[in-house]
Amino acid sequence: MIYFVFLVLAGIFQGFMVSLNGQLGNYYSLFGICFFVHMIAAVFLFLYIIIKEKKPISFRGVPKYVYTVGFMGVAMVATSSWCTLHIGATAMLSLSVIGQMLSAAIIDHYGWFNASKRAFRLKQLPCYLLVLIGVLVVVYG
Amino acid sequence: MIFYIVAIANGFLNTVNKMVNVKAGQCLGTPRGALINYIEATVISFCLVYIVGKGSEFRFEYIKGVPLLFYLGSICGLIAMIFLIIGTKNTGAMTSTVLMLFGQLGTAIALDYVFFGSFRPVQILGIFLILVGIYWKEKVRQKDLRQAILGRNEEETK
Repeated sequence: MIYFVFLVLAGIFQGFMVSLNGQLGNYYSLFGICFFVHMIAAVFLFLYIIIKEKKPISFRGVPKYVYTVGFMGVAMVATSSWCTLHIGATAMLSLSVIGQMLSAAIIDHYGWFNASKRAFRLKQLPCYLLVLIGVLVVVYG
Repeated sequence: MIFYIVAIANGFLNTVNKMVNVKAGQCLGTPRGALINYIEATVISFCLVYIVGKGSEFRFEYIKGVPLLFYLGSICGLIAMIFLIIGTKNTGAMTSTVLMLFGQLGTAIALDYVFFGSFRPVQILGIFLILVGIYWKEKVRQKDLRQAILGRNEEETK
């Protein structure tokens, strides 16, 4: 039961994160928001690794495409803050769910990023439609 | 309309980013995998702020003038990550997806009310439909997975 509470709490904190980052947009440019969001997290994580793990930090030995995560991080925070400011956190998160479901289905279907291949089946379609209806109700309701 | 398209694109990027982060975590360990993301993004966004001519945002007086609460978004993100890792390890992908979305969307409704003063009760119905849709999809996926494993086992025994 406690783990269910943890998961709901994870969602609550993520909701706070999206909303607060959106509010920073009233003061900073999109890239300014990205800077503060990532810089503060980097400092805390750096301290955690230094204090808890007590091992030197090295980023060697990863595939080259892993180094694109920073660009993706900037793009994600910038777009989510921009959209939250204009359409609100609820609509932004609901629409993002649709994007996540579609991209996950495509990645599974083609087996990209070494994911095990799982073909899209038509019987999954009603589930996607139900989510789509839910998103439309949230955005236009 | 552009905001809706960009929000969907954000979801696409989110999944790809997750896959790449998982790979980084496998190679470097979860904390270092996340740190590479944060450090790179900090440097890139710092450069971009100056490129677009908004360097004045980094003046100390200006930074001090912004309410402290709004800087706490990234700390919320870190706390969420810890809860998510512990929760997912002990429950499973389906439960974690549905419960996390429930918390996320519920909070978004509450904060939209606080910051924008907007609340439409029909949004709760929308969120309920989204959660049922996700739960259903995960159920179908798990059933398929189970059948695939059973089929493989049967082939091996033959």
